[in-house]
Amino acid sequence: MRGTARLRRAAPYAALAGLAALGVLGPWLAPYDPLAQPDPVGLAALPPSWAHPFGTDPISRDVLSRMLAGARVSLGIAASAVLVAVTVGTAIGATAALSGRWVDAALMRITDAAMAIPRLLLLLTAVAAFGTVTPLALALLLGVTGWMTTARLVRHETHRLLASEFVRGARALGVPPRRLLRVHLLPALLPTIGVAATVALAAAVPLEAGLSFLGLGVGPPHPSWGNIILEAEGEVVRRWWLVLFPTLAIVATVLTTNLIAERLGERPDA
Amino acid sequence: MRRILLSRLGQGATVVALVVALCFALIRLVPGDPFATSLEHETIPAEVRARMLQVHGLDRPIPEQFGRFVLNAARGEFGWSHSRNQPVATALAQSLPPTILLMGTALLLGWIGGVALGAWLGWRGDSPATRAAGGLTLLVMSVPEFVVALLLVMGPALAWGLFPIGGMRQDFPAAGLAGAIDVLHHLVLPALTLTLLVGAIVARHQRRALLEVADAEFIRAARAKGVPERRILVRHALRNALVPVLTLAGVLFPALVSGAVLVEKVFAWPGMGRVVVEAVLRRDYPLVSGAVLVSSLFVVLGTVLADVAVAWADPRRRR
Amino acid sequence: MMDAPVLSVRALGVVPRDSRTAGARGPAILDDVTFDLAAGSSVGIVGASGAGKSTLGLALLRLLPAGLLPTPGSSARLAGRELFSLGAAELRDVRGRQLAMVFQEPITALNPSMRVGDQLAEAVTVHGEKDARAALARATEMLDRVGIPDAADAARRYPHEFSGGMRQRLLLAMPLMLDPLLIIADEPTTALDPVRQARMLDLLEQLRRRSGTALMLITHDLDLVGERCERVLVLDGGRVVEDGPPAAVMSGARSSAAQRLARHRLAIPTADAAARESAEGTLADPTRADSPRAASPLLEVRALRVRYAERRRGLRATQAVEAVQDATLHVARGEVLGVVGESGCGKTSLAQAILRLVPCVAEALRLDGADLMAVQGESLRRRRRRIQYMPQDAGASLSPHLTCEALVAEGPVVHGLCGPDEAAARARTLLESLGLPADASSRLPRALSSGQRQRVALARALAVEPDLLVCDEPVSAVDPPTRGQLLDTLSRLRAERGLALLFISHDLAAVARIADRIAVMHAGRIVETGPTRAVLSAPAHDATRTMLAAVPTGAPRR
Repeated sequence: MRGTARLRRAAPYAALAGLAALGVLGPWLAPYDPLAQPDPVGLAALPPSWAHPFGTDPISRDVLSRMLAGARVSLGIAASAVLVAVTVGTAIGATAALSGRWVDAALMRITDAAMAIPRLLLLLTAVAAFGTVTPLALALLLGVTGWMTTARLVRHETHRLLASEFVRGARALGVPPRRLLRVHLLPALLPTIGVAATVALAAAVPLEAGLSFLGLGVGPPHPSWGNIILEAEGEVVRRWWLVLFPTLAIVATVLTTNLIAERLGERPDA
Repeated sequence: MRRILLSRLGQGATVVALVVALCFALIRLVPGDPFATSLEHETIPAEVRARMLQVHGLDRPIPEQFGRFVLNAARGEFGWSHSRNQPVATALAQSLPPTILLMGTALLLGWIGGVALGAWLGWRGDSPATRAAGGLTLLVMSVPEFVVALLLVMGPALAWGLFPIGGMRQDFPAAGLAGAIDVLHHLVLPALTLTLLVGAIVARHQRRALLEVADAEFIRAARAKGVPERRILVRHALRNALVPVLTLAGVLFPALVSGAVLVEKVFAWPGMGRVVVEAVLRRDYPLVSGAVLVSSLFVVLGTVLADVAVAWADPRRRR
Repeated sequence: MMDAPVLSVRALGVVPRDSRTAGARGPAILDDVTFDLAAGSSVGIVGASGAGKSTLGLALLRLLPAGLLPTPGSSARLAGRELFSLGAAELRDVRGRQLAMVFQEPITALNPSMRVGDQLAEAVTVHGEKDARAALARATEMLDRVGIPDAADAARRYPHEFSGGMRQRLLLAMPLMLDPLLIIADEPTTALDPVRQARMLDLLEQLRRRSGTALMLITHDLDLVGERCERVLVLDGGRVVEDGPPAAVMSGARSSAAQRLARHRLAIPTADAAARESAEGTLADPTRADSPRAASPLLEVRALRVRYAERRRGLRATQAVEAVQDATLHVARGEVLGVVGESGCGKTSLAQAILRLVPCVAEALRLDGADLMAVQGESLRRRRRRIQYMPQDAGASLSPHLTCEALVAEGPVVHGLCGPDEAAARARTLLESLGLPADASSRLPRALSSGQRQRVALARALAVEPDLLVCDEPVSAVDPPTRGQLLDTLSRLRAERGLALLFISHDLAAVARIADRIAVMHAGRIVETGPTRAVLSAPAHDATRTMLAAVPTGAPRR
């Protein structure tokens, strides 16, 4: 009983690790060259078969290979975006909480404003301004539009910790400010940052897919889970495999991330 | 209560001012200008470009441009949409009602459904049914809205032919009641997509909030008083679990607008989202910034209202 | 014997529920509890932490947490009705109307988003009162009866708008709305100072008498039971080990659990008892207390004031609240100064001001002649080594993610007393010398009991070799045996290290046991200072007399 409980608790982490491994190893596992178009006429838009387990796209590329390559692109973009978002968000949130009332209020109004602009519109506008975007630029854009939730969570938690008995205890002991931050505050903030990171990841993956689906994210010929779906547009029923498999990949990623986010959030000491 | 309303409105005004500045910055501070390239020509001739910049006031110093931008925005003028060949204000005025219809429906149904489902999940405790339903909400929350939209197009619309695959009206719209029914018929699938999105998120939060309240001592105290379970749920538990769910609005409203952009695109719903995507593709900056500004204003307004509702729900915050 | 008992409990048992089989698992929490309670009488349920006291109350109300389960043979009859076979509707009928509960913590036991009047009126409406206005009128009347001023206005307010003392009264008003047959009160006054405790229990007594309600008082304070109850049951390991009149149990306990509780009772020495005890050497040596080395006190505080700005409701103006006014005191090297007073009298503010944790102004605040008011930043930090602090909730003052060893070793390292390795070794020795198990040093604070956590906090303070230790209510929330241990430890440290203590508490008995001198605080001022024995046997100020009179003595209160 206890063993299965532990297994169930570990499952989402294992699944996420597996997905990350696919992202790293994907291109080497791919049976075909994800960019090759062997026969744009004869092999175009074939349903799944033994030769092409996930079928082919309208210009004869192997969907499985493109999905494995796309895992690296999609997950890489999302992970880098989370890194940027959480770093910026933590810095802003902690600064707001540790500074005086006016800095705090100013930073929070800026956060409110950045949050009020729907993120997809912000991204669309930025993409429009830059023309086409490289995966790296897309990751940066997703990062700088996604720090607000982290900032709010971190600010709230830092305020709570600053008023807590153990910070008062450390101050009464005579712990210097830098050490107070490093040894007492930051480790206590880590669970919150973990929650923020998972929440940010669960938002970044579908956003990248959505942008690519609109044709405004990762541009051809690079594959991403979102732009594989785009290939099916207009023919979603006849070319169902172009929708189904990338969708499953996206849902699996977001679902495991959401599960982890809930677990972290429900931990009593988090 | 009036003080809280005023202070929230003050905060909202600050946020609006910042949003206006952000919108301006977004358009003006990116490399290049709107007339550097066009769809028809690789590069626009230099003299045409200079003329266009002058007409649009883009050759003036940045502070002056900002001043004009603010003044014009305050008057409801957002410039000329060159992709649609009409004032931005007109384009927005035409596309706003369909979007409000779509999002309003989704918000209303999703919120009611989410609160009810979340209340059941949080209050019933652990059972096979709640576990299954809880897993389902998590799953729905994890499917990107454009995928839900695509699945609905594939199934009910294309394969079974129960609903139209897109648009808001028939090609030759009927008048009166028949017309209204026709619009509703077109509304079902896009609204369902967004309702699922809203409902799942609200249900998850409602469940969590209720689970936390269920352990509170005052719930036990109510039981010790002999208060019936149903009344405990409604008067004691739900009321106190309301705050986290209302606070959610600040995150939910912008997410809903983002979701609407994608859903309108899939269902060819003639709302703001579709207008924005087209404007972006055609580099119609005035239209993009106008649309961003207007939708952000709606979000700020919604968030302020939610904040006030939070103050109403929790007497301790009416300071 | 007794006339028809209002409650008769037979073979009541409670066991942990196994989540898989929904059956019993593990050892019993309550085992074969049997007793009768006469109508209108009062019984005290006493025992150490974990003896099953609270479980008994919850089991009778059928409010056991999901993990616990009554055993099949359990029976409890309230006025002839078997509680354990009631259906949902009957149970609702009994709860509140016949059987009610006083909860401990007013902040959590009152619904924060419901008006107080509505919460009280609800008790009546759910039991059949159709007229909402009549219910509210009854609620208002009850508010008036528990002594809440302007009851009609109070009924329209929310719980957070009341002061702490008023909220306590609200908790009392709740169960009394329907004149129940029996009230179960679970540690209703444990966190209160003696004055408030006495006030609250007097009120309960008065209301109870009026309606002929029986009382079941759950507490770990044997003296309190002796004063308030006709009978006492002592629980140990879930079984009733003692049953009888309190005086008999206190003097002639047969069970070891009752003996342990009786042994750890602390009494305030009366004038003649003090003389006798000082001869036996149990009371602090008065000769030293009477001649403090005032020439060079370790800590000197003159005219210290703490002020909090409080925003007034509805207005922009801020109002200053004087938490401490013109406090003057001194502590000699190796001396123990007790600071006593009711809750909210400014004791904690005074302590935190001396530690420079809250802003204050003072004519003088000197440690060993050096001015503490003048230091800032780095020099203040270094000065802090010499005054250490053990806050009220010592367990919460430990960073939850650091091991006990790291927590204790941190002080010497940041103050440059020794290197990290030596500090760690010293920390382990120190933790062991305070009676913590050997493996405690590698554990996180949450893996320890609250008494152990308190000792870790003490070790952390001692590790930097302070001259003065400020203890804020160290014993007010622990059971008597733990209290006894801590007081012994502090006395020993003082003897071994020459440590001076500023011992803040509303527990007069504990202060009497450890302090050389006492300072009494009342409404932000120090109203009386003097040698412990002198202050306690011949109090000069009304506040001191009120407090002394309120302390439970174990003898029935007249």
